Amino acid sequence: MKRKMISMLLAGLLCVSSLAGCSSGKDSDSKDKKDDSSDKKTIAIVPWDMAMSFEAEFEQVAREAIEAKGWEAVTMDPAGDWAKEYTIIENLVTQGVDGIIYTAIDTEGANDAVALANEAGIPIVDFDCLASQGGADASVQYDDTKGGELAAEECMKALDGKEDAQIIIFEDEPSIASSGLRVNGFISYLEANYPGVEVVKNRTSDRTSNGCYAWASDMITAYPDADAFFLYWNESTMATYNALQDAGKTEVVVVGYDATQEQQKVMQDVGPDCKLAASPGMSAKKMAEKCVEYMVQILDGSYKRAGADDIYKFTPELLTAENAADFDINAE
Amino acid sequence: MKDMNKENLWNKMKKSKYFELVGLICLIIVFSGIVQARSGNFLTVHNLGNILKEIVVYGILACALAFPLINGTFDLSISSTSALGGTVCALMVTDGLYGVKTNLAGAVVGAVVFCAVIGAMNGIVVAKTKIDPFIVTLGTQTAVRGLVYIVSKNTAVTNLPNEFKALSKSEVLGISISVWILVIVFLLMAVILGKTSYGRKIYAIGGNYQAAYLSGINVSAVRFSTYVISGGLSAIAGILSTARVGSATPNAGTGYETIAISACAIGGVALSGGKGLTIGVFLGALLMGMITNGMNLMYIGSNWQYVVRGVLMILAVFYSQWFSRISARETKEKK
Repeated sequence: MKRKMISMLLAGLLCVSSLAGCSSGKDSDSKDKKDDSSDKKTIAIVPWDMAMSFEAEFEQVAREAIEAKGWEAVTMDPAGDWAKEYTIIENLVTQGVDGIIYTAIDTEGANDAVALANEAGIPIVDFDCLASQGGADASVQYDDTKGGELAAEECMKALDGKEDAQIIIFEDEPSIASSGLRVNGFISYLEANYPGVEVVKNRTSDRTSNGCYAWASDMITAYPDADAFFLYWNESTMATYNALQDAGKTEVVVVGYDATQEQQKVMQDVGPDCKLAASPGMSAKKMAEKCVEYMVQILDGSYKRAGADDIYKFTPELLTAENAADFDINAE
Repeated sequence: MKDMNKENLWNKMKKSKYFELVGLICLIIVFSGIVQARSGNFLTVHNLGNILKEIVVYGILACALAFPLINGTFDLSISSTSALGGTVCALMVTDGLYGVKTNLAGAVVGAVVFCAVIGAMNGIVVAKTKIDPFIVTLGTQTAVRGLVYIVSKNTAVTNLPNEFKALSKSEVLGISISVWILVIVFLLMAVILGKTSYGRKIYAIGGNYQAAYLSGINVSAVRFSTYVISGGLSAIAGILSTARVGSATPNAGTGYETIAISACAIGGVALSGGKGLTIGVFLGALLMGMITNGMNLMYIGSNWQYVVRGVLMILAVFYSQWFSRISARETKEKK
């Protein structure tokens, strides 16, 4: 009897103490259950990984836009794990949220997740990395091909049009569609305008800042005459720039992506001759506002996607070492 | 007379090896109640089906870990091996694995055999050398993860055929095929561990290696076999995970070994070996899945899920040790 009582008490204590830390509060990762009022909707935001600056800014702007309408925003972070993201979307569908705004960690696998939401009649909007079959109710992205082309143009400007330049590119991931578009845009520009330029593609499986730093260090060791690097996202851009500077390769040009404040500060501090020469970027603010705008229109019936190719595309904002002092990625 | 019968029944229950699981069952019931109260959708048939599908991977990995664990050793490589199994199987039905392309059945067998060989390599090193199994399998975990990246060329394997995805999406009698596979794995494990001499040998070696050796058990062979089983089961988990999410990503299963360890520890498997029940492993895996699912339904993010899992694992092991001490004391008092 005594053991039975203690067993039950301990079980209860285990449960209560475990949930006590997360049963209340309005931190960025939790929200109470939605109100039953039909006007108050619950919109879920599922970014790639909240540790990434772009995603964190997107989440913040989207949350504010959703809450400004008197709705609830809930954020679920899959931390870059596709299996987690799939489970999160499945559970959000079960819980019956009113809408989902997400970015596809795996653009092929995401088709199944989108299908789940479609079956349940829950509007789903994807941004940046889109489900490959275009099944979401709306899609918003930046023109990544154009971004790659802009990056290549700025790279060659920084190299004074060197015809036989050697450029190292962080190789794209087939499951990340935007990476392929950016890299292909970069390479196609070079092929069309500077066919003599040598392109070396390589990547590391460790996509963290530390991993990219080590990659860049190894690449400049393997290719000591490299003239430039092209990276297609912020963490790799900064890691590569820092690695090259630390290795004494201060003349090597780096063209990155995402045009973050961190990159802008480096360019401002160094000036127009900064070797972090350019970075096309996406305004997380503009993208988040567009996603929420679409969600509102889908819910009130004023928007219906015309087809898989009906994708709202922004032209990338271009940050360069010359315009860094005045650059505002969110400027209209 | 009636009181004596009740007393005997209660004493029988207390002496039962399953009594220790009462705390875990209470925890599951209380957790379910709390989540249901907050979300309203936890105990629906649809969501329970989701939970079962979600614990397919955790559960089979927990089974994979349980064999070496009960045997007194360890296998940290299960998560990487499961990723390898999923990737190899996916490649063999899509682009081909170094020219080898086959149908789904052949790919599944191939992947399971491939991963069983990985397990066998673990088994040989652990059984034949004095190297700590933790270190051996830590090394294998890293090496196998590298193999996954090499084999997949650092990319996700996508465009899986529908029959592959059907392993998770299709149903028999209203239950997903993957859940049926989970049930079969657990039933087989229960029979092997509980009803065969081989299973008794596994426990015996885990309980007291020297005594088992001196009693004539071929401890090296049994220990080796537990790693082969672990490798094979990890492959099955990886294949089913791939079927569920529609692609085989090189970083799949990262961190799942900790979930498997938690499931085993919470389910009463002694980390020192010699003790553990299949039903306990299942309940532990179920709780892990319920935590993920329940907290998602309550819109509580993955950061807090890590905290909850970690705290529960520590408390569950404490509870298990405390329970064992109380049981031993009561048995001594009776004598």
